[in-house]
Amino acid sequence: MSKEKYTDESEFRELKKLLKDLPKVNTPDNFEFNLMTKIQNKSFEVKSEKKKSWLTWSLTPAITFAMSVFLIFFVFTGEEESEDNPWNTLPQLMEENVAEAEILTVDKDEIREKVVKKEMSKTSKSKNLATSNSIKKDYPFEKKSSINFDEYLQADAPPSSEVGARLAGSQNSNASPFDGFFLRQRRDAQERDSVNKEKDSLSQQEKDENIK
Amino acid sequence: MTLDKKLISLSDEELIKEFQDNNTLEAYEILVKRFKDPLMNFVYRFLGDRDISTDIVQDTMIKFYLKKDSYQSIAKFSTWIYTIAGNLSKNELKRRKRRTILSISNDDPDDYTLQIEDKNFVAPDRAADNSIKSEIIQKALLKVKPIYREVVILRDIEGMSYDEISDMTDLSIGTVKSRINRGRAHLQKLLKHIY
Repeated sequence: MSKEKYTDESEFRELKKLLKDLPKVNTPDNFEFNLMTKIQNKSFEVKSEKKKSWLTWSLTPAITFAMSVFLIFFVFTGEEESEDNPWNTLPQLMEENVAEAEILTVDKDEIREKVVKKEMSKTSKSKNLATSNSIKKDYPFEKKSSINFDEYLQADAPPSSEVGARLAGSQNSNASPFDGFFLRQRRDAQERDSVNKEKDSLSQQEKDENIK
Repeated sequence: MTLDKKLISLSDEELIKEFQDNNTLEAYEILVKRFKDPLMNFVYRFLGDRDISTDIVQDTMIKFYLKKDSYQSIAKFSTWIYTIAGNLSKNELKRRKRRTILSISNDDPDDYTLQIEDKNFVAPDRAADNSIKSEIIQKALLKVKPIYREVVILRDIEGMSYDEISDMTDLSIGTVKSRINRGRAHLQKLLKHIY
């Protein structure tokens, strides 16, 4: 029965007849003329232009998406390179700070060492100056070390400079050497008077010459 | 024997080949002459508007002129040209549908239903007249869904075979038969008062 349903000859015979008897609709008389004019003038259909515009419209989202991705890519990569943006450069800055801090501490240590060395050299210079004074001749202290008073008193004579004096009771060689006390050397009163006198006489001479 | 007379004796497929190979405009003109009215009839029955149908048939012919090389000799020329016309008609329907949706959204829905009822059916006492009868059939055809309408027109008005319709619509023969049957059933229901 279903097979019969799909055949033309069954239940739709009258309908088919109606449809077949429908009057034929023809193109207008100037159809061919208009068509050939269009073809010869190459003024082709507007619909194709519409289609082109539709095509461009359909492509526009893809193009805009690609452009935006392109722009975003370059903008973000550019910002990553620049150090101005704190959001992106924060971890880098922290690292840099740590590195700088390390450098600074290293520098500080170096500076400190240098300062200490300088101070040490100054003190050693002053020590050298002090030892090089003529005081050493007057007192039993040598430049190398302090003196062993017990030995000094027992011997009744100054010990050799090479042996070096030590503090009383100190037999330990590891003990730090005592350089002894240093007294400030004062100028002689006589010497001072003589220098003053010379200054006075010189000034007197100058005055005389001016008067003349 | 002149060129025109020689060409007229050629089949559709031979003419298109002549046009493809030698760009013979006479061959194209003969094909236009052969197919303009059947296409007009098909498009008019599908769309129901004479002016728009004329434009679509003209567009079909222009498309045929511009894209002649896309035709392959394995298919019948009639199938190819009907496919072009069918596609353009469907596009027009879609465009019209969009426009109708917009206009309906602007109008009062009660007015719209009234308009449809008044337009589509003529009083039965006037149905005797042939012209009115054909008008009623045309309006009934337009009430059938386009997917059924297309195959019913191709089969019952244009007299094409199932194979040709199958090639044209890119559907299986079974689907074509089924759609024709459904379209006819709907149409018969609409035209019950005529016969």
